[in-house]
Amino acid sequence: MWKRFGGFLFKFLGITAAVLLLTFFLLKSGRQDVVDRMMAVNPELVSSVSAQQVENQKQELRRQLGLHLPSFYFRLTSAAIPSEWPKHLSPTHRKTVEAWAIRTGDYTGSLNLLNHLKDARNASTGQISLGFQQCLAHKELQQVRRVLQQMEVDEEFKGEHPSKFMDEVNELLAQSNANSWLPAIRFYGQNQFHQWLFGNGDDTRGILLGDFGTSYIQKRPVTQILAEKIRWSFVLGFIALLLAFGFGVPVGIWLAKHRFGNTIMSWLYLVYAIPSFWLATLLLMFFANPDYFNWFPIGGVEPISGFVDDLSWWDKLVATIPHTILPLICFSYGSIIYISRISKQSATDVLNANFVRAAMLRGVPQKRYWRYYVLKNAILPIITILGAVLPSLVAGSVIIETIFDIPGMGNQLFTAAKKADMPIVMSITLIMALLSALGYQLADRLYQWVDPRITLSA
Amino acid sequence: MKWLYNWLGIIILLLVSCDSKNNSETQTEKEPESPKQEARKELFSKGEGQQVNLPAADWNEEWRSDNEVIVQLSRPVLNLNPMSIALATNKEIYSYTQAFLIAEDITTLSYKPQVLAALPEVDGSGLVYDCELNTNAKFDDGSAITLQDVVFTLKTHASYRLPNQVTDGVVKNIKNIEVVDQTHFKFRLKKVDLETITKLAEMPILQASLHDENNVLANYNLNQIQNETPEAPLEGMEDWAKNFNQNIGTEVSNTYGAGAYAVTEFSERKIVLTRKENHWLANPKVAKITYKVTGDGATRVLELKQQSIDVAANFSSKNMASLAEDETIASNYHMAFLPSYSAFVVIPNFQKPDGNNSVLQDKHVRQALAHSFAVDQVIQTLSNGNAIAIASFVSVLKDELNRDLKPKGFNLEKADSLLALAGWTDSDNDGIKDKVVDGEKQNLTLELTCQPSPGWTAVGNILVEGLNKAGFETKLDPVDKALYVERYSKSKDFDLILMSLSSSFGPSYNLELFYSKEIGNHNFGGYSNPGMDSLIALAKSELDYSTRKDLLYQIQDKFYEEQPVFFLFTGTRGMLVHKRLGNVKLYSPNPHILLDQIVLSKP
Repeated sequence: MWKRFGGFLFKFLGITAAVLLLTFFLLKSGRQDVVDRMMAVNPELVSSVSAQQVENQKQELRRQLGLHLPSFYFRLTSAAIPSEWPKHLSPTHRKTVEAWAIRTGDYTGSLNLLNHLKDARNASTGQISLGFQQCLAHKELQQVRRVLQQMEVDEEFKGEHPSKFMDEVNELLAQSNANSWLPAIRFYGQNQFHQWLFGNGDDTRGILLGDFGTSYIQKRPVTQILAEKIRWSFVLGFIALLLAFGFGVPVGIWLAKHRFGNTIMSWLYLVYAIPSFWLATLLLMFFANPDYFNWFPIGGVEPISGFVDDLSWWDKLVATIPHTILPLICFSYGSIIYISRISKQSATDVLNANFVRAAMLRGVPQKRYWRYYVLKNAILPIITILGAVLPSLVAGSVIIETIFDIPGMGNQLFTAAKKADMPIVMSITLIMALLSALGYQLADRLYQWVDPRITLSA
Repeated sequence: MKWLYNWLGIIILLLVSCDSKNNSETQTEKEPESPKQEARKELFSKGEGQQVNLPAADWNEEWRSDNEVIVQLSRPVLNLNPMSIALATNKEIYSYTQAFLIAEDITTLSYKPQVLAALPEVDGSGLVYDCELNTNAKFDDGSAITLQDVVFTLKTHASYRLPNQVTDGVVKNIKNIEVVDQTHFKFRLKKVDLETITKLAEMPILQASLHDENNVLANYNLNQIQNETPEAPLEGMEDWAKNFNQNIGTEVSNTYGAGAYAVTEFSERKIVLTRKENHWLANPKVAKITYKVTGDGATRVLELKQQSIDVAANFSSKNMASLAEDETIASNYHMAFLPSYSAFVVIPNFQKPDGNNSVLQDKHVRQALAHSFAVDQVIQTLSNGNAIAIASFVSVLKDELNRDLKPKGFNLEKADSLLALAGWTDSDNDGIKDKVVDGEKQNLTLELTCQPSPGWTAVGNILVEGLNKAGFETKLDPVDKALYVERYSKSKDFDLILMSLSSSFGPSYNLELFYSKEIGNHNFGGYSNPGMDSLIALAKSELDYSTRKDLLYQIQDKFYEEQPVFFLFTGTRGMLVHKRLGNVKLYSPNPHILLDQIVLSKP
């Protein structure tokens, strides 16, 4: 018993942790810094804010969001990079300093050069400022030297500035970088992943204590956002699940009995092959269009103007139903056909089995052998699907919810992923991973319950 | 028998698909325009100037008759933080929900007082602004808007801790604020800035007692708040900023504003504004304004067909043309094109990180480029002719435009001769101009960077085609939005970059684009010319309109000759307004329509 429970826990936590780590690193591997993305404003903005000011605002925002910390507990790097994380530097400048330090083996000297160049940039204007800005953007010190040389040649730039920095660059380049070739693992106790798991010790408690954090974009608690979204995904997912099993199993069994079962099944396959986004568009075009049949509203889960005040819950429900018909068709058509195919196949296999034939020959009444022999055995493969659909009950469907404008989890995931809103993406992924793990474990138990001959090794 | 049914089914399916194919082929054949189509062209009301009056329509009993306006948005509004005024939709919503010291009046192309009793009186030096508060101005809790609230708002906009991307430069320019009495104050600027009034109209007044219960900001002056490297940390400031950033404009309960409408519903899909009764500021006619977000293009069209939307914009000229072909939409919606203040430009880079800028430094090459952009083709192909080719940085809607300067036009012969003057010829007849530089043959190669959306790449492709015909070896480089911003603002890793710029009816002219003092900021290409600089410096601080206009004419002459930035065309904005709404006027400046002033056309 304990062994089995231990095995279950190991698999459950293992799958969840693997999915989370994978999602985290995929999100972090994006080329663009999330704050850069958040504050990327069109040039068409007539702004009186300087580039330097925007840079300061970004760094402040990183600090507020905890993005000034290292991403993970450790990293493999060069021995020239110290274990102390430069929290005050922007990601671009941190990468520049590290590139210089790896080239020269002198991290402190590189950091000093960067700070001096930054000060010079901030103190100057126009082309001189841009020259220093370009120096800060170059990860190759030779390139920095080239820009400084160019600045020295240019009449406008003549002065002590460029030559002073040139000496500093030359000094760095002259150093031995032997330690740069040695690999080193640097550990960081305080990091973004740790903070996400355990909180920052101040105003967040971490995911392990049920605090999903605050959305970067919406600036609201993720728990609150997901609580609003989950109900629509759950309601639609649950009804779609009922429709799938309610129609899928009887249709499959009926097809197993019917002489044209295979023909009908092959036609159903054609419908199954239609992608859901395409079917959704077709349904809207034909059934929510005054040119054809203007039977259903286009999207959303309520009238655009909202419900009239003082409407009873029943009236609200009635007003909501037309909004859900087309999405439900899209949610469930694939599952209905898939389940009917599985049911049909299982039922056909069982019908051809010797013990069923023997029961028929013994004169067991038709109703009885269908109920106790065929149905019971045919339901086994369907349990597998039950495990797989559990996450979709909560996670919804990204495509269908987006097309039908349903304020559910799928729609939210799509929006959050586009904006790199990590707390939301990670939270939805976590919920999906937990439910997937739970669903498959549940399916295993149901197998045993339906057929006690099945044993599961830990 | 089973195989027979299967094959029969497949044959029927093929027949059906063949039929539909024939139909679609018939539809795609280009036919002469029918009288119906010709008539539909007249459906578009075209604005010649700043305003379009939509004709009254006969009332149809099937139309909705509620006093609510539903506006379609294509992108969600993610927060209603009053500092996020850089976003056009946020700015539009704040014009209804917030109160400002002064506000834009798009009907008269001027400014009008709101929280101030009258427009500020500016002294002869242009440095001192004398302001008197409107004593009727109140917050929703009934408390008067005081000088403390105004100062608090200015301090908020001065803080680098908040992501304010519009106004802090203006606040930084304030030298001091002199309090004359409780309603009368003066502020003095450090230097003359013509855009001060414009930016004051972009600062929603915040209630100090609501947003700063502990009076943190009251303990520090403007200079202390702006100082990014204070000797000692400002006590309580970090916590205040974090709290402000995270707890304002995120949901209905924390969207405050002293404007005539309150936010009563706020989600990514919908924002509802409800009229406040007997408001001190205005008496809006519309009870409810709903912004409905629909991202999917096909769904946006269906919403119009179902007439569930009252006002929609952001349709391209091509889409507007196909919408006009739709019987339902055409008979129920007014459709109009508005001239706009925006401009599509190509910025050449004079500051490449590899130092390889020599090609674009040559004035003749830039002039040749100006003749190689197939602007007319872009206008005809992508905008159905609903755009205007331009030659200047001054909007075609402004009197300051020097109308004698005509667009350069696509002229390969002129481009060829100008390139020859710069030493670029096609020596090997491969269609690409070349030149021997430092003993090495070099091709005239340039890369055009743009955003990756279909609209941008379509414009970019036509421009690249024109450039290649002129002998440039050009390719289009569409990059992700964030990388695109990084390229023009930080890394400067581009040859030519395509972008759109906006302007307003105020005294802003995009001069920063080629002003050397703005290199590193808004002079994205790094162009520098001392003669031009001195004229720009004078124009930026000239208070007298006619003198400023003369200066702008001189700058435009130089600009036309120098071509530091290529101004290509100015777009028009397509709008649809349901005919159930009467008394509708559309204006060129954003937000183009005053939703609160609309009344039903029902008699």
